[in-house]
Amino acid sequence: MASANPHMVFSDVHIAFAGKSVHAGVSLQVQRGSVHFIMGQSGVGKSVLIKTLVGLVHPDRGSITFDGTEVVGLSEAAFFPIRRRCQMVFQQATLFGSLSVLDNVAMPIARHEQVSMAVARQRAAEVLESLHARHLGERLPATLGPGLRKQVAIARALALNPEALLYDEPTTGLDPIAARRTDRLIRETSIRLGVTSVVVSHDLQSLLSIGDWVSFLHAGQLHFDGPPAKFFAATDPVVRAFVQAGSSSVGHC
Amino acid sequence: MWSLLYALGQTGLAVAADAGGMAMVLGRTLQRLGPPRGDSRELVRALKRYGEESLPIVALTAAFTGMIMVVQGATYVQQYGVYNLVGRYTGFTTFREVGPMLIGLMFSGRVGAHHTSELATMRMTEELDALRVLAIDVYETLILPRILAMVVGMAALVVFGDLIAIGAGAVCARLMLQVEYAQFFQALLEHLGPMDFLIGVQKGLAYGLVIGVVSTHYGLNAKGGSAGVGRAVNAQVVASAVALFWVDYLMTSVVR
Amino acid sequence: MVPISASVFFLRPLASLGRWGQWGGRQVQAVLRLGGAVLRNLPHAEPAAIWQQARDLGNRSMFFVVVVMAFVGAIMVVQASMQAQRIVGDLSIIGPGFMQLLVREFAPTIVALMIAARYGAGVAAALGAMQVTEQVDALRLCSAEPISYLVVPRVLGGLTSMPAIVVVGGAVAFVSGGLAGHFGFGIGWTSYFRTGFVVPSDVAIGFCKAAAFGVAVPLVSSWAGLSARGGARGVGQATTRAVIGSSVAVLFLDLVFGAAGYVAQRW
Repeated sequence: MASANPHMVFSDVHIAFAGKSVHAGVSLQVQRGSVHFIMGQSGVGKSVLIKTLVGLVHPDRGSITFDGTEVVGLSEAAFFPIRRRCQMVFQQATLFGSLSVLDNVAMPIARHEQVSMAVARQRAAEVLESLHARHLGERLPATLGPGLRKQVAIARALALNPEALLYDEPTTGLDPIAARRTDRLIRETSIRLGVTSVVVSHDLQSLLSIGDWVSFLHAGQLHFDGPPAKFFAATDPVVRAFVQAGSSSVGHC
Repeated sequence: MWSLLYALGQTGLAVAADAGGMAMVLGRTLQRLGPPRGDSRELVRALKRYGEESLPIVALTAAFTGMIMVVQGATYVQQYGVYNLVGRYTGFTTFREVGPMLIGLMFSGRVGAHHTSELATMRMTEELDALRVLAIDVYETLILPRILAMVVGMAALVVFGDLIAIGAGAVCARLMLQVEYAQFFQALLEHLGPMDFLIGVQKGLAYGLVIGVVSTHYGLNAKGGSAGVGRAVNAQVVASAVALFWVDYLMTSVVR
Repeated sequence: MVPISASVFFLRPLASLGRWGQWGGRQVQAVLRLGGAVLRNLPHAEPAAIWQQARDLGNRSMFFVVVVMAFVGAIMVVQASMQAQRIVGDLSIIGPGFMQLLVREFAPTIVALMIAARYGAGVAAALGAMQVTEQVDALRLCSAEPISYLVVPRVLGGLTSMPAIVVVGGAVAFVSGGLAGHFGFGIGWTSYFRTGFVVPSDVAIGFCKAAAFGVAVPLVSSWAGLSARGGARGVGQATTRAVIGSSVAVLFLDLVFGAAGYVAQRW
């Protein structure tokens, strides 16, 4: 899907850890407003790839642009404006344990918008409301199940009104019901706010129900890049093996 | 022979890497000092917590320090009959050297260790990364306020500890050597100037900074799960001790 | 109004002092109970395990102790020389006087404080990790008494190697102090390197201290590790408790032995 104005562009990205190559020349584009899945087996470096966008991982070679701005080689301070526009939802949700749910969401607002904590809490309550999580406000993260924690993490990521959201394995470790609810939240958020969503996952059910596009990584290379319908009919042997191994569970859900 | 050389080289490299890491922490912290960009609420919170955490242990340590100083000198005092010097040497050694050092060691074991294990845990659970992604500077929100709190807190604890140590020393001198309180404090006030006291406070400030930088470094660079947290804390206590004695050496002999 | 302000300014600190006292008393009791259990299990000690722990404490802390004691020696001689210049102007007693203080007081105490940080924290981290992952209970199920297996070798290892490393640390401090005195204050080698002040009772006090610290540090640290509860956080807390607890134990024993030595010398 080569459009004139993609939101994010990875070109020829190389990443190695301790001499071991993870990505050897990955190139792909993410379209504005789409729900873009990055799939592959565990350990293939899917999370590593999206973490480059927000400067948590620095690639060895290649170019990555966010809305036309090159991010490779930026300093930690120069990443701050990028991060406010492109947020990330961590795999373990990673809420701040000493803060209530409401304060987890209010904290970034208070810090960045120069408003009082009371105003920030008001705004945070609205964000939680939009994700059907207002009632969790006063609870501590440790008292929530993994599904609810993920819901709060999405709210926190939306607190700064980003234009893009990166989801690191949003449904991994969730029970099927919580996983499908998380899928719906991702889709709803994408439609309601028009944010670009990049979803790292190996959950074929998620892809089937909410994905617009899928990029499949294997052994540091891009093996598939296209819409989900074509993905399930792909002829590439690695992709076929992945789809077939997962299709039994898709049938049951 | 070669393996010994190899081990020495390895140790040297590790020490150099840690020293470099600490220098980076120090640089990044100082960079955020002017214009001040720290979180003042976190500073107040940290001061309160560090005080609560370390007051009992510092009081106990200081009391032991004062008494040990008197006990150590007791033999000489008796031998030479210099009962009028007890207050003087107890105050001198406690204020200048032993007080700040022992309080510093306890502070690193309590507050520094806590800071290290907290940062290390946050690193393991990706909370540090989550802060970064929220475009929140970890140095501004957590590290600068806490290092400042350690600097201020150590200086305050040295003052507090000095008072307790002197009090305990006076009681001990009265009981062991029958030195009257008036005589003890007279010797102390007559022979010691404010400088003797302020040098100790100055050391407290320096030790607070050292402990802050060392504990931050080991917390931010912890690796390997929950066992890694323990290792980081252990390394922090050891490195802080070396750094404290090194700074003490510099402050006593080079910058007299 | 008076009762309220009195309660704030007087009673509350007093109450927390009482709580600390109670809490401290319970900790001391627990450590002593562990010490009693160690005594009962002494016959089952394995020489190989003791040797292993002695090496762990001594050899692996050597570099650290040497570095710290080198600084300590230089600091003390510089301070003492500055004082001596101001008061008596005679630097010839610095060497032998420092030697006596090292033997009686500073070598055992400072080395033991360093061992508390280096070895004690490690013991607590290792035993704490075993405790929270239920390995200690697993040992009990294999009918291996955890105390004779885990604590006794550490205590006996400490007892053997602490005096040795104290001697090394003291020697390093003495030599580095000699260097600082010679190059900083022009103290002659022959007037510094004298041991004339040291009497047998000094050596006895120093040795008793070293041996007592050698028992106390592993004992308190093992107690801290074995009482760890609740995951990684618990292990971290146990490590802290080991450092603080064994340091306080060292200072307390130092005070006791110092006072006992003074009393013994008077009779």
